[in-house]
Amino acid sequence: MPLHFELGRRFFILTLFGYSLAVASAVLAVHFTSQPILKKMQREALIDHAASNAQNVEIRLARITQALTVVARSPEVINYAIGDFSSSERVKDFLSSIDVEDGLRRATVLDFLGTPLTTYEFEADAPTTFLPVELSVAAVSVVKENAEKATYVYRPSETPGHANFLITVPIRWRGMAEGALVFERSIDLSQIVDIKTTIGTQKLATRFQAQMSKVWGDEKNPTLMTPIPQTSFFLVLEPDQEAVRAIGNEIVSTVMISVGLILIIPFGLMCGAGYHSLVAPHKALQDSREQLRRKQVELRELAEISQRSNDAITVTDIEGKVIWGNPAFSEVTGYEIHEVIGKRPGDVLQGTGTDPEERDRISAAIRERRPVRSEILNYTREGRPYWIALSIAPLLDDHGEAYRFVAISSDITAQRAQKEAMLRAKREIEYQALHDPLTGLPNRRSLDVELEAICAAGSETRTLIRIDLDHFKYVNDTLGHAAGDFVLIEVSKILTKLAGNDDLAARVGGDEFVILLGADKQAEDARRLAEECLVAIRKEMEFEGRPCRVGASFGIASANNEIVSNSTLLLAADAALYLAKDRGRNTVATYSQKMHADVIEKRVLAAEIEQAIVEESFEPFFQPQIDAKTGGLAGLEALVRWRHPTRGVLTPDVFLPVAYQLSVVDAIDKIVLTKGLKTIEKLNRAGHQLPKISFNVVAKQLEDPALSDMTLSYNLAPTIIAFEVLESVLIEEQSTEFKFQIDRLKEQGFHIEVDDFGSGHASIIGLMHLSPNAMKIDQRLIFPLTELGSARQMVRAIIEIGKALGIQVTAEGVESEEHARILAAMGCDTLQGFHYAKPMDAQDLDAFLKRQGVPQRTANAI
Amino acid sequence: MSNSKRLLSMLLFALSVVAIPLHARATDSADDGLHFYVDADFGMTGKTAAAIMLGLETALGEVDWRIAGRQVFLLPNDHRGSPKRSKQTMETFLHDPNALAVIGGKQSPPYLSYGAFINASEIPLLLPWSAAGPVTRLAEGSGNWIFRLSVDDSKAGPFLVSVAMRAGCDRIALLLLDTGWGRANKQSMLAAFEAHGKQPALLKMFDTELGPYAARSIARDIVESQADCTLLVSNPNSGVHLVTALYEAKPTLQVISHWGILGSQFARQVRHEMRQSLSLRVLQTCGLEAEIANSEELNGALESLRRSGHKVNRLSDIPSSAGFVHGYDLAKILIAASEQAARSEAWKGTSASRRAALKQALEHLEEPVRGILRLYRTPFRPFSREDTDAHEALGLSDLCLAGFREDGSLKAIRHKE
Repeated sequence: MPLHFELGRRFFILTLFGYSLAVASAVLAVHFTSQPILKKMQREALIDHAASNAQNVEIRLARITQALTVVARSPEVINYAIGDFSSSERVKDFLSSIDVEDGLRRATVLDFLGTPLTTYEFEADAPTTFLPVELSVAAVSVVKENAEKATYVYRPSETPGHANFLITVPIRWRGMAEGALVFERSIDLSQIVDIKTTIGTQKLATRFQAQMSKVWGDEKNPTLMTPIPQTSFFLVLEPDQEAVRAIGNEIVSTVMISVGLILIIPFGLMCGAGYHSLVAPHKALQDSREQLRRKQVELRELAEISQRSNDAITVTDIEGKVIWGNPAFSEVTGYEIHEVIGKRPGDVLQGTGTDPEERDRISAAIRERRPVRSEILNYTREGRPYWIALSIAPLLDDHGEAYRFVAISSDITAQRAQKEAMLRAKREIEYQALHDPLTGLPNRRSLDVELEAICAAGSETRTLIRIDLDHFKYVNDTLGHAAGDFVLIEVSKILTKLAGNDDLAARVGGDEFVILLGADKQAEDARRLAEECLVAIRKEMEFEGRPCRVGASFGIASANNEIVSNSTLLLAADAALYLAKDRGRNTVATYSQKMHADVIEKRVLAAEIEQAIVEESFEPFFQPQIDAKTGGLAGLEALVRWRHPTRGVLTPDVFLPVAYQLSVVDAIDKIVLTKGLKTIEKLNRAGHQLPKISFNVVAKQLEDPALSDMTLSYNLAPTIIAFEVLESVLIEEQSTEFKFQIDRLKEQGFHIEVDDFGSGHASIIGLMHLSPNAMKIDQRLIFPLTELGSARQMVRAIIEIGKALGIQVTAEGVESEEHARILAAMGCDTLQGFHYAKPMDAQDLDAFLKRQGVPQRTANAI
Repeated sequence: MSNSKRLLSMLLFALSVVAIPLHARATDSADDGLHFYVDADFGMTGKTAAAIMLGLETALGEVDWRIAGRQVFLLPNDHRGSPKRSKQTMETFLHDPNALAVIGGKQSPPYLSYGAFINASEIPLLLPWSAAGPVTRLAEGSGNWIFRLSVDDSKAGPFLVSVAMRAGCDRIALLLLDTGWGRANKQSMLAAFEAHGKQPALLKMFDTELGPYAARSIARDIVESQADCTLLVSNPNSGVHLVTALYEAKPTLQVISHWGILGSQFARQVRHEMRQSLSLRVLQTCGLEAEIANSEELNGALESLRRSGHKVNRLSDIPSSAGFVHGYDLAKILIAASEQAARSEAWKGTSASRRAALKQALEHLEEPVRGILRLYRTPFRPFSREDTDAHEALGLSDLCLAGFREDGSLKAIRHKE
């Protein structure tokens, strides 16, 4: 344990001892001088205690009596006692109606002369310990004294722990006691007397008992009798001498505590003063010795560390001249210590490659006597450059003044080289990420970053040109990819050359470029630039001695108007570009108000379509197909219609292009199919016996087994279900799964029909592979039938093909009787068109079928 | 307690019970004057008792406190409103050979409770202000010893009902104290309603110790009953709470009250604007009418009063002036009857025969007596089933209503029935 701790402890123990001695002396003095007073106080304390307990008993009795007082104040009792219109029966009735506590035996009403008027027994035949005359005396007493409170007579009970009380409650009338209501009550004594108190045992006693206990009591331990106010009995306290003595001891201990507390102040002051004048200086001396010793140890350790350190350590004087260096310094620099003593390290170690600014920074820090850290290039004695991490700090004397510097340096050449290599690599990666490696132009990502930054800044509006090369594929296909790459590089050069310094040209796709114009450029500037670019791009280029030529289409969008924002520039320019392409390429188109309106319209239509799918507003319209030979109903084609909430019934040409873009055609077809099947089921139940119903589906839907499962869940017999697929299915490479599903559908009794045959690539081979049940000739071939002989020959040939392959032929677009006659004559099986009926909804179809009454081709006949 | 002590206590008690009569007897033997006991509440309704005493003293003063040559003594006994204490006075009276008659106070209950005892004990009892109807009708023929010169509730109730109806009240509520007095009024009032072929809008009986909250509850009931007038039979304390609550609940109500509300601090506790707003009127005998009529008898009585040192200008200067008027007139009749009795043979006999002679004289007064209220020709007659008002000196024609002046004193209202 340190000496100063020991000293402090001894000092405090001594002070504490002195304090205890002082307190003990004071207490002894108090004890001897206060004995006579103490005895008197003990006696007084006993009397006070007894009086207080007697009052408690009175209060407790009063509490017990509270309810009885209320009874005595009731008009029944008062009127009876004063003799005013009340009978003993009324009083008894009243008393019998009140809730009473256990132990209440009887109540007697007495008038102001003490005459008992009536008695009510709460407990039948309860024994009484009081004479009638005692009741009268009690009543007269309260009347005479005009008492407001109840009085009590106490009588010990034969029941252990119980006592009988005569409780006399004054009956007061107009502020005067005019009689008394006297209750006889047995009370559990523990309810009113705390038998065991802090200073003795107490009990109730009659006057006689109290006097007797005085006569026969223990003289050494005299009992204390206190009359209880309002009563005729006493509270007898048999003091517990030990407890009484405790009262004295309590006083002594109070004095002790008080003296002790008071003495704390002087001793505390003494203790504080002693500590500051004696212990603290001694402790400070001890501390400084200890500090010195530690410093010596530290210095030794430091010297050892610096000798063994791999870092070069030098100590210079305040001028910065070396006065000491460690072995590592020699190892790093190649100089022996003695060679550099008295020289400035900078003069010896730094050379041409050293950063002069960094050198000045270090010099300034040394001049200002402040620490400095730096990374700086030094040279060894042999002239080899090396990087060091240098830390220079002033050494301060006791007054805080710098008197020397210590410089610690470590060789970081290797780390630095590594760091620089990493930085280079990172820059390279970042450049590659943002640039097109072929043309060196910023890439799509770079453009996005730029646009995002512009959108985030939000203040300036920008203009953008989107460029798509025309016929670039042709160059690639004919001259090879090298030529394509050449063209792209040339185009990028043109764009870079013609674009202004503040414009950003970027390659965003294969043959797609974008020029994001500078902040103050307008759509007109963009148009001029685009036209210049177009002229330059269209000039013939030469690749490896062969001429090659490309064109370009330009779409311009500018946020300098209210229809386009910076965030939608690319989309708007794209829309303008498509227009340029539509206009026949090699043109410049600007995103206009009208274009914007179209876009908005499509957007609205798209939202409405999605809503219509949710609400299932699409429904099938049915167009009858007629047997060309019999004129009977051969079937129905379900055609999609949209019951638009404001525009009425819409045909698919209005919404299908957008529905395709939204990829919701499947969903629409499904709604039409479900509703169509339900309608057919209903019509069949109504007795129409429809021979066939055709639904238009895309090839992909046929691959979905759910299509047939769902369809088969309806009871449609005898109607045949046919699925119409576009002619394009014939030439497309179909998967095995597709073929399998087609076979499965056919096995399940579904018909497959090829729609719009002759509108595209009418493939006979495809037709043979698919082997559909029917093919429908495109209506564009049917319309000119009446006028063009060539058309008639074409149609006839198709019908012949059908017959050759065993495929039923249906003609669409039959608009006149003449059409029907010609087609029937050609051997066409089924006719469909406005000549017979327009597509109609389920209700109209029902009416049509009823009205028509045409013979229907039976399912078996198909 | 020891047996000896218990015995001592019993003895003490017995002594205390007989102490009062013994004392009375001892004092009686000291003179040969005539003793008139005044059995009244000198405590809570002390002002009314004092007014009665003043009336008695004024009339006796006019005959120099002497009747038939003997000194007259008024012996006041405070019964504090307790019938028991009143009976105690009667018992004291019976032991006093010089006692001739008892004069009552304002309360009726003592005589309703112990009227039979009084009649049986042949005590001439003269009531200057007790209103309960049955008191003077408890016994028939010569057995009836109780006389009254005051409002008789068997008349007062119908009078109040009749006044209210004449005042144009359509819906009349009855608020009656739940005591023998109140219940007696209830009977007579309901009978009066029935005679008019009507029913009260509301009938409420209330306790003697009514508080402000219960009073407000009753006032709410009155408002709900849509009564336009209220007839009130109440003691002063409950009367203060009720009138205040009625004013707060419906200031436009008309209140006509039995005089039971007078006394104590009624006029001070119920402000003038409240009394005015409710058109508060109280039943009175027509003493105040006499004041307006500048009656000679009244002026004479007031002059006597002034001579004896009282500073009184007019009748209404006397608090509870009805007590004074009734006391005065009753004393005048008592003096005349005593003088008349003294002339009979029976006067020379025992105290009992003197009292019988007095009763006889009261019922057969030979000379008319001029009082403040009226000229009494035969104020009392022998009581019989045919003449149930035989012991009533006043009748319906002696009833009047009084209003309040701003200072709280009463003033006559000319609505004599």
